[in-house]
Amino acid sequence: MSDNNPITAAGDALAMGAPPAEPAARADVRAAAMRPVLETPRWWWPAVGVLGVVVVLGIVAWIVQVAGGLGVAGYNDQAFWAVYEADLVAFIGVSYGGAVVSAILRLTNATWRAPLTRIAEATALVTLPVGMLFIIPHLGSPWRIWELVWPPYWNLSSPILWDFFAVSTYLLATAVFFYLPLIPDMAIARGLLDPERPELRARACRRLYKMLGGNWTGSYSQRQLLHGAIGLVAIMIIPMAVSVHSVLSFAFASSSRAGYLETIFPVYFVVAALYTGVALVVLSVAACRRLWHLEAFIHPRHFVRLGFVMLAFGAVYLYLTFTEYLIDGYSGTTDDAAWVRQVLVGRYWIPFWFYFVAAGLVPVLVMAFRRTRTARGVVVASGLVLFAMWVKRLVIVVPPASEPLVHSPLTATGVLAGNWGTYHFTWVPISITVAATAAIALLLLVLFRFVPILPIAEMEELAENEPATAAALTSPTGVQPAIPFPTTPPPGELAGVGSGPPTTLGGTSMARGTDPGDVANSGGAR
Amino acid sequence: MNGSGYADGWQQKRPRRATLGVGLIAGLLGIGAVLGFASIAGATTVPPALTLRAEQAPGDPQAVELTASLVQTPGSSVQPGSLAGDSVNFSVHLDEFAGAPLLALGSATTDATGTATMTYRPTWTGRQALTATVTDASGNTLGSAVTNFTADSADRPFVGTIEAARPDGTIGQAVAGVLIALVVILWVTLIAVVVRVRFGIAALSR
Repeated sequence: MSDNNPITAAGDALAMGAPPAEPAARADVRAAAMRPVLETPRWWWPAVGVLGVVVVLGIVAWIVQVAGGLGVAGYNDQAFWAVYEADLVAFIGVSYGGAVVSAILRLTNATWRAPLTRIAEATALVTLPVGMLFIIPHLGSPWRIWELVWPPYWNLSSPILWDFFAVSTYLLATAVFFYLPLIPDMAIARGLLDPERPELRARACRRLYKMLGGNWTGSYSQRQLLHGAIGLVAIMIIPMAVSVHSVLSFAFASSSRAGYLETIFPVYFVVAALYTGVALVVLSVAACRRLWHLEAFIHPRHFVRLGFVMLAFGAVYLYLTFTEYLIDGYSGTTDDAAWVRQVLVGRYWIPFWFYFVAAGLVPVLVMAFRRTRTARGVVVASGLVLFAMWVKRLVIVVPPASEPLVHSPLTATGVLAGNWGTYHFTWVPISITVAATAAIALLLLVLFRFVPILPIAEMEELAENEPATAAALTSPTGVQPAIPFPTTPPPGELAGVGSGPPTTLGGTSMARGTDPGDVANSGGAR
Repeated sequence: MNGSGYADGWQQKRPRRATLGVGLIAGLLGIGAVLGFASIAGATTVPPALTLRAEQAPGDPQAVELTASLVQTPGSSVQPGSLAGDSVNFSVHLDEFAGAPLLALGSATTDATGTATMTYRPTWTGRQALTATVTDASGNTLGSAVTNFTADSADRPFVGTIEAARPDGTIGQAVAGVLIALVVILWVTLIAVVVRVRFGIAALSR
């Protein structure tokens, strides 16, 4: 599609310094960003259909569980917490990575973040509600869920109530953090849509863009206002993310059960969330890059940098795991030492050591060698990390839950029966877990049918302000261009982003700025 | 040589000697058996019987007085006065776990009358199956007894100062109030940011 387009000003800016023949140099950020909105690839409907069927099967499995009770999910009185608690922690955890990584990169003004932020923030936005839903199968009786958070039924002593407060607040923050950078893109996208196209989705997009974009003109004052707001939310979202996953760990750490009563859990959970969150961002970015052909903007260097971030979190998590097991194993308390032994060399050794290899050693090895330190290597490592960390959550949840802790002087061992409980997987929790995973992919596919997949204004602004970096970003080699970027914003009121000649998108040629309200695309911000 | 005569003589004498031998052995065995049975019967220990009572403790509606008593039974070799010093373990059956396991409540030592008591404060209401088991100094179980009790009131585990510090206590209520206020502030701030941006953009576009 971009082959038919004249190179826009933004494209020019991004292409500055790069050899004219390079595909990346001619890439049009607007065309690429709007490609998922304006084009329907052949794979889109089949993918939505398959994912939708998987989600429906998960809903059916949940209905079976509601009818038959938690026993159909493999739960019993000696394994009272299992998959759903692990899912709750894992899915909410992965949602943090996108928003927090984006926030940190924004605050540190890491310019290489630009092509990744929209995908990262969108991933966080769709993952968090899906993760929140796991509280429903976990608690068992959906018709009484509202009593958890509704006075006078609520229990202020219960961590689950504070989980609700924390996660819902974080969901609002994530939505705001996703929306604010979207405002200028909505205005730009409105100008790129054919105003005559009668299809329902085209009309819905126009209405959506008008509603969300407001009266954005791209003036200097508006940009200042928006930057201030985004910076404030970015600052807010980092401690909020830390607090949210800390509170999630309280459900374990405030109990009296050996293996759950761990003061290290809050920080342990936060690090795990960031670790898996970055891994999910890697997978999301890789999928979007491949499916919507964003190779001109997202380069292997992006994956390698994310890989280093992931590696750092993974190393911290590995150390915290060592610390936890060391202290529990040598504290001299029988119950704690018992579950540590079962995890390391007992009945749970296979899942634990699988985590250790897949999420502990593999990322280190992948990033250690130049040969494997590639986009493909990081993507493979990220996939392993996500699955292995889910298994690790099961290792956190199941062994302490199945440990016999009812002591009696009537038995030789001092522990009643002395038998550890056993959790057996059934098709019900597996279906629900797979359905949730499919729901995330499905929601992302649908979301990017309506919003630009790249932050257009941010990338164009970056090209204006930091041309060398921007040009380097578009160069697959990452070499800085020799030719300096000529544009200097005029003093006082600066030019709005997105000025440029007519372009052709979605098969329809249009002149930018045809909509009188869309000053952003007319080249005149004043 | 009268070899056949010798043979005939042996054949004639042998049944008589064998009969005497067998009879002698059988007689000795019979005497031994009688003496053995008599010895075993005399040495059989009949353990004392254990009874268990659970009654509401006077003056404390949440407490249950558990009394386990050892009593002599006919044939018991335990001499009067030797019932003291045995350990009695008290337990309650749990319904929450498979196999109705026992939760240890505590233990007491029998006095000279063979009685051991302890006060139990149920942490849940309703019917409870209580068990007492007595062991001797060597740890051998001498007997056990079971009784049922219906608790009308329960002792909440965190009543008092501990509960006061928890979120539903006095200090905790203030903590909970502050935390809820913090959540509200965050919500208001986030919504205000969006509103400010939307109105600001509209104002700056004029």
